[in-house]
Amino acid sequence: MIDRQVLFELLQRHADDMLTPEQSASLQEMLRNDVEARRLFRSYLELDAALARISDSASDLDVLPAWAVDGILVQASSQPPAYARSSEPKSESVGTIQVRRREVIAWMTAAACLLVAGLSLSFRLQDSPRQGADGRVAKIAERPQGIPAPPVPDAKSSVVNLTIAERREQLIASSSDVLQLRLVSENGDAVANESDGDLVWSSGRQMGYLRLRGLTGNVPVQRQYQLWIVGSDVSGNEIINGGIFPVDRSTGELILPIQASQFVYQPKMFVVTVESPGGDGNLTASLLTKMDGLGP
Amino acid sequence: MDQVEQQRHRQFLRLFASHEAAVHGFVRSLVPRREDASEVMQEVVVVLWEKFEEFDLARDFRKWACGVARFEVLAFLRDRARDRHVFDESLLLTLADEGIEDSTGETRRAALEECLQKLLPRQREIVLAAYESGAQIDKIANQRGQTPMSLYKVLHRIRLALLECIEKTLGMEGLA
Repeated sequence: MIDRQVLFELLQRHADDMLTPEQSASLQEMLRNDVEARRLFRSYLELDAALARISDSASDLDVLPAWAVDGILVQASSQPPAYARSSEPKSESVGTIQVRRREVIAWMTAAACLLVAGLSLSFRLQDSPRQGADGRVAKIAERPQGIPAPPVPDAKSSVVNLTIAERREQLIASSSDVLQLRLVSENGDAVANESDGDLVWSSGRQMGYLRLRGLTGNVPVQRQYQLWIVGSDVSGNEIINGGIFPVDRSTGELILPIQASQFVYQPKMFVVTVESPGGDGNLTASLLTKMDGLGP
Repeated sequence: MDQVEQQRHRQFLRLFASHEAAVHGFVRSLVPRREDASEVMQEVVVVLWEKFEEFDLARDFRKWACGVARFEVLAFLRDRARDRHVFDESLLLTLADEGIEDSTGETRRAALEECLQKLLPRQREIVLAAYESGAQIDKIANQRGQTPMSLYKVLHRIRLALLECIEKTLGMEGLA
């Protein structure tokens, strides 16, 4: 029987390249003797690789991980692999890779649609917003009112960076289980004289977007939107935080990716509240909106 | 590029895209450092493409790709045999063989995907910073007003929470 606490401590140090020779020997001994330890070791290191991939994909929103692009480019150009990437100066490295990715896109145009289909599964986390140093959700999409939404991107155009509006459209187009729901007031009417909006959510992909329109009444930086998802599972209803969205603008349209804090088994209702930053609990009643009556 | 070659490209990219996470995770479990895994993967993707003509489409691409990756990892590690972090070869072979045959891998990766969605924004921010290529924990910790050790602990807690989530998910499916 393995001591899981000791194993996890060693796994952590192994993953962070901090094992002493003695600790390395202990870890190897555990792994040699226990199949369960090896299973947990694989799981932990797979997780480590996945986090590295997320970081890689988040720092460069193209679809292929850097090493894959480098490797494939080697084939295309018959040049040696760019093994020294991690030791190159960061800015130069990023610039080089982005240019080369454009070449890849040209080179692989015929395969683009297949790429998108395959890679979309493993890079879903790209859809989360980036955060600024102050921890706020960065402004992601801005489009003045009256300008039509961009068309649904076709497969070829999907290999370039998509705007948040395009990703929303892509989710609607690509997922059969997408709920499309309009924000309504508590008494069931469409919200009047205040923010309007809608929400799309895919349970299968556990992702969605909240769209707020007509932010005419908003005083910038004085209130934030919070989405709550009322879901249910076998143990009953649960209220899940769908994300806090600081609104730092007063007009136009804002599309925000929903960030559920946990898995949403079966959404029953989405509620948007508006309050001042810091959460003093004083909701702006006219903007307390909710949706129910689910169904695609 | 003629049509046959184009078709071959498509097949390769489709299969590779579907199994890239599995192969990367497999490689990572055999090399001491995550930078090593990225380096080996560059070579693996080249070799996979070179050998793709030999690949029988009726076979399991993941197993085939991990088999190829196994040789690349061993070749990579032989050059670093004196590195104190490299495991002995018999253990590496055991880990590699079990990794290739592990039939729960797909379910585990699906659970991982699910659990990753639950990362809180602040946890995600830490992970992105710490795992960025060339990241220096000392600098990140300093920027966050933490000691490097406390940042390592936070990272460990995040990874443990994710691992626990994966195990729980697998347990619900009777696979843990």
